Amino acid sequence: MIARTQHYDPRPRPRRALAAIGAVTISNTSRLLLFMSFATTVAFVALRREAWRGPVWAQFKRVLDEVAVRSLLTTVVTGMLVGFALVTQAVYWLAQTGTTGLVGPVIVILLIRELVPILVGLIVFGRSGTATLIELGEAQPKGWLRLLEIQGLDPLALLVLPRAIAFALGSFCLATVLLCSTMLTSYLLAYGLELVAYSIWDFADAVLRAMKIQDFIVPPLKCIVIGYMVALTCCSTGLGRRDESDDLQRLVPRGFVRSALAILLVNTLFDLVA
Amino acid sequence: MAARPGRSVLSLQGVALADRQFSAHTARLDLELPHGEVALVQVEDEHDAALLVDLCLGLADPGAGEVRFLGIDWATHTPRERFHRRRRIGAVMQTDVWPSHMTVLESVLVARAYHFNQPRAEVIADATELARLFGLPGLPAGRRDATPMRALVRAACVRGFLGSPDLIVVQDQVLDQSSELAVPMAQAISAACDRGATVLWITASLATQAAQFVHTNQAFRLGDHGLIRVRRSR
Repeated sequence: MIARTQHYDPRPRPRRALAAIGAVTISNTSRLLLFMSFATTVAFVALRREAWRGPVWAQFKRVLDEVAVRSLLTTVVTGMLVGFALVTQAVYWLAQTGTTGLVGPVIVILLIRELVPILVGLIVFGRSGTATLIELGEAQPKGWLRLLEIQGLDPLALLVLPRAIAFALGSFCLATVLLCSTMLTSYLLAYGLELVAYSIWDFADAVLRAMKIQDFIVPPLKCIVIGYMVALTCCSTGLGRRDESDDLQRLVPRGFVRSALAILLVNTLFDLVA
Repeated sequence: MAARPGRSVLSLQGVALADRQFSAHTARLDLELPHGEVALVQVEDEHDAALLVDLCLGLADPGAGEVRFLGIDWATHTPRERFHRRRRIGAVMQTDVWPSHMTVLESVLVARAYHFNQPRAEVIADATELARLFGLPGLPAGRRDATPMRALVRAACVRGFLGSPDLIVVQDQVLDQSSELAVPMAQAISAACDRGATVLWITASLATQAAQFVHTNQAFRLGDHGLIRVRRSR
């Protein structure tokens, strides 16, 4: 049995509660500021040519392959399932109300601007982010982070930079694949169920006409930033594991919560700005 | 210690080694390692040995005193500059530690490929030659989990001696206990010293078999208050 002594605080209960809220707010704000400075540093380092040395390129190619190529099947299947949901909900109800002409704007707003970036963020986290968490979660406890530092290898350049850029580019690629597979599936299904009668070209034309110029810029940019943030969240959470007492099993849920928050936060910020 | 700080590869002047595990005293360290010399330092506690390595390699700042590598105090460098300067240091340590996302071969070559623009074939040829010296037919190409411990220890030796580092720091208990590596280590150290490199071997015991064939210029023991010069019995 362990006896615990409680520190006596003479302040009244409301003041103690306020102090506790204040302490949590200050701690989380400083953590957020630290993360933002980390994200900015990685972005600046990525712009420096000398940062892209041989081993960094090799890591970048490996991670990009993992994110963009190995997640392809998952993304296509997700796109097909989302396409099916889109038909059963959006297109079906538009057909029921006789407003199939609104299919373009509905798809643009629902799919391109909102759904695809969030889904891609979740796919990237699930497929590659968890692997990064576990991989980098062992760096400090197993001692190889110190080994890299001894060899003069900057962990920011060798571990974080290639992952951040590969996740960002991979997210853009996966978003394109997800969008195409979703739209193709939803059209074929709607056509097969005779919910729409026009050709695939007319369908594509309706979607493109509903898109504004910013729809060609903001959603891709959103996907890139989401991928970048997921990578940084996973890297910082993984590298933040100091020793074996911090269970590896707790690292993945922690990383998931942080990544999900980052995805939703980036999505909201883009919606507000654009 | 006659060597002047400017001439030394590694120089510790009045360095305080605090936060020791089994000693309440703060040891004061003074050490000069000129080019081409070998120093053997007995540090019985592994925690203290790791602290000493961190100080020598600029991974940690001393509470007092200064640590100079190639004449320049680590404290005057930014973290980025410190990383860059460590390209001139070879480390034979943590023989059981290998990054999980790289093969043993990649891990041996990574520092060389990162810091120097040497063709990969040349680096592999140098590494293979060293691997043969340490009794391996070549460099292990698999991951850490699929490589026997015996090969990992030897690959770690290759990792430390690869290239032409100015300073080679040896510190590993597995290596201390390996009598098989005594002769290859002595040969590798001798070749490095002939090239002008300096070797600092931090060992758990000066009587260790692994270091018995090494010709040392200086030998010390870390006591409660600092480094004590000792004479090695051979």
